[in-house]
Amino acid sequence: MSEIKVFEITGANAISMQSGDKLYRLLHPRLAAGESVKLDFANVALFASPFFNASIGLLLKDITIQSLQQQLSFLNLSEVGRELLNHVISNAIAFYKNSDRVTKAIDQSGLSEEDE
Amino acid sequence: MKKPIFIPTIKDDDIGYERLLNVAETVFEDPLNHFDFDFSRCARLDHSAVVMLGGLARYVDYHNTEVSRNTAIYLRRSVPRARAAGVMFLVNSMSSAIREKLIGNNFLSHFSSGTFEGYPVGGYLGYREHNYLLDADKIAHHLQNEWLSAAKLRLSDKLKPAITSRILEVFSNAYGHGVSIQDMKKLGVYSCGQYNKKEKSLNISVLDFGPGIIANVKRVNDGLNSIDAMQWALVKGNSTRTDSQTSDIPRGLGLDLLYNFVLVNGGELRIYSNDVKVIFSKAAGLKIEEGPTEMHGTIVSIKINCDDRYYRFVSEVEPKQHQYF
Repeated sequence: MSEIKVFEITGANAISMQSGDKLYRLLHPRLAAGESVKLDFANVALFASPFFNASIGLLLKDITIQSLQQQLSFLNLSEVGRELLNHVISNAIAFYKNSDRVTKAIDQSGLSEEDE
Repeated sequence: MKKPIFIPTIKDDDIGYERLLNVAETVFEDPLNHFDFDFSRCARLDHSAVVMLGGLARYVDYHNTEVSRNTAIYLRRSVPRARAAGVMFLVNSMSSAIREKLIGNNFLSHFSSGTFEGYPVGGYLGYREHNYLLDADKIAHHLQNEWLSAAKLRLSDKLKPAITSRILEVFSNAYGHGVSIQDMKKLGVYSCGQYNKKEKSLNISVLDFGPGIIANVKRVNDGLNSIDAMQWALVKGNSTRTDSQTSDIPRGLGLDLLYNFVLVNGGELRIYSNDVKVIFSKAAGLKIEEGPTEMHGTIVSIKINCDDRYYRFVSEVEPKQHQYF
């Protein structure tokens, strides 16, 4: 089992999509290879949904929640962080269930990445 | 041409927002003007009014600077401003209470060349202008170490990170639905906080002049009316994906988290965006109605009770929320 110290990626604030993306890039290959990973949130004080959306939420695109529960463990995650994490996960599960429908609607609207 | 605007008393209530948006409408109609903001009829200005007046001054500046720049490009030489335009806050028209308030929350330091005694330094609750790029760490630092550490605000160790986290959602939303795709990136985001000692409540308004929630939702949901568009935006998981990130990332939690936080905290949430207003409190429930006037952008205001008695985690009151970890 490997361990990732989240503070080394985010500092005290686990807030932005960008830092979430950094964590995702470390996590995804390990989990996809069947490895177990401990995420240590020691000294991380603040959380916001964009961070968890881009790190843990995105994992649910191709990894099941059951696999995540088996392979991933969270250490030193504050009550506020844990609450947000669970919200993000339930939202991500619903998101990928409806993903095709939403993507189609957005594609039809003509809002491409370039527009953003 | 000089246009005087008499600023009325503007409290953080329905009538207050209506008055505030009427002032904003006058500016939105023709920003290429000089506006004198006269406070002789104003007995009170709450945080929402302060942030809007500051934002409007920058909005007018922005439009007039753009006109000068475009004229210069057309003429291929530098030109003075097309008109003597901008916003003048008539300090002499202010009562001493208003003047003290606008000094104490650092508002006037942004707009007045006058040197008033009493501007706060370091940690203060008040008016702030945020860079047009979302620097999440900077904003978090502001909130945690300056904003929420203001001497008059007493927050427990349990409540402080929860409040900071939710206010960050307000900013993420403002940058997501507003600034990242607004034409006027330089306008950024404005905020103003206020602590009500008597009620022990913290109030914050965050303003942006982006396209607005309704306009963004209608771009991805053709045919929705404005009320339905706002209803759509408030549903957990719905997002217009306007934050410049890849489309595969789940989103759409910000407003839902705010809504739930206000619900358990007994606070209040107000959103005015385009032609819709949203008011939510535990007592009054959720109201989504036609707004008093067209708002160019979005203003989100939340009122948070700062007493630990009003704080529980959403999971304690929302048993449907599965605990995965």
